[in-house]
Amino acid sequence: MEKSIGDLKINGSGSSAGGKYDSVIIKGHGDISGDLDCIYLKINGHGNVDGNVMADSVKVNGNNLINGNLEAGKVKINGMVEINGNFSVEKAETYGSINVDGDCNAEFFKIEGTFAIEGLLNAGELELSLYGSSKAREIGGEKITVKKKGKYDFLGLKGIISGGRGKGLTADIIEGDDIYLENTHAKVVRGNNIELGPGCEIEQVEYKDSFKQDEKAAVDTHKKI
Amino acid sequence: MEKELISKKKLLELTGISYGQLYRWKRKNLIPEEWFIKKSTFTGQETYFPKKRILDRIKKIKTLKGDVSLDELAQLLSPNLLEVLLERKELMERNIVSKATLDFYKDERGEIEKYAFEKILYLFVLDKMFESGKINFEEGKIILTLLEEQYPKFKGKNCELMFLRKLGISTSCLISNPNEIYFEDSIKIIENLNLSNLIEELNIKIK
Repeated sequence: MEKSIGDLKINGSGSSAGGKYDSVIIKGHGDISGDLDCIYLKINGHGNVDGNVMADSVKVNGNNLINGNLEAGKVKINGMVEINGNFSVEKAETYGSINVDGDCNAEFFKIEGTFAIEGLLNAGELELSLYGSSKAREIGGEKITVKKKGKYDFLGLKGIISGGRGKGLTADIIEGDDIYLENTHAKVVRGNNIELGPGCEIEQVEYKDSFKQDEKAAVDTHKKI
Repeated sequence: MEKELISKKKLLELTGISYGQLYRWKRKNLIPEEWFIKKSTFTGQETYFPKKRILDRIKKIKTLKGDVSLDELAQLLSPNLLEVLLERKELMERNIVSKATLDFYKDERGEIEKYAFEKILYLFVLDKMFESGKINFEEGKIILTLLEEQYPKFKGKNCELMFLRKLGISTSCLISNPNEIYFEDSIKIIENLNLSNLIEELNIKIK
């Protein structure tokens, strides 16, 4: 272990070149123009990092933009996070929205809100509660649960507010052991146990053990492998 | 260099593992990113794998995972070089490198007390080739020099060692993998070794 190098604190507005710290705390607005390696990162307000972030624990209340990869043990986000790289984490909880340009690897990942993942979303356990349109190119994992939230959605208000974009989750491929989906549009869903709830539109389902389908779910073809 | 691919679906059918397991192993870096080959099909993109290597790898993971944790397993299977130092005696006793190869190295480069992983790897390669009778000591020198001078440049990336002969003249090269390479007819490929596979083998032997 290297010796502790001290803390970085930004209160108000400030900037730093990055580097190695015990804890990094931003209250207000902080710009970090390099890689950041720390044990604890907390952002209350707004934090921009122009580089890769490595941390044991990350907490964001507000807004965080990372122009690089984020690698962390534990991440909790209340607000919005944008990662222009890959995201690897043991355990992540997001309340708000998260955008990842690359791939996403997590043992446990819970999202309440919306997300956009351009690459593969790979999680041991994935719990998605959607409040709006979300997308991932590919989702894979052991246990995948996608639920629709947003109570007023049945009035169609959400659709109008969000500019008529498709609501729910859109993905090319979803593969896992146990899958439960609501409001999901996908080309292919494959797994051992698959249950499709209301609002699903799936072109092709391939299952091994069991398959259940809500009457409000549309499936083009399904077959047992 | 292999061309035969296997689709993800076929792979799971053949090995009896589930999607969840496959994704977990990918997350843990037990299966390298570059083995996931995307191809377009009528259902959109599908994933394919290099058949022989993925089947080998899954067999290996299945047999080893009872004994060690997935994280340790990832270390064993990674193409990164271990940090170990072994003595000449140990190398011989544990059947990692034969005495003949060690003597060959001693004649070429002089005696050294402890062998670092990189050195052991080079000797391991030579040992394999000497043993199969495909090369003689003179050619061993070519390969040793090639590995010593060029292999560090690959730094953890996968590469293959190729040994060629044309009209009795032999030569050797290192090629990054995956890659395709074609030769004219009169060149014979005597040996083609995947160094990542050898590193794995060596990791398990040393552990």
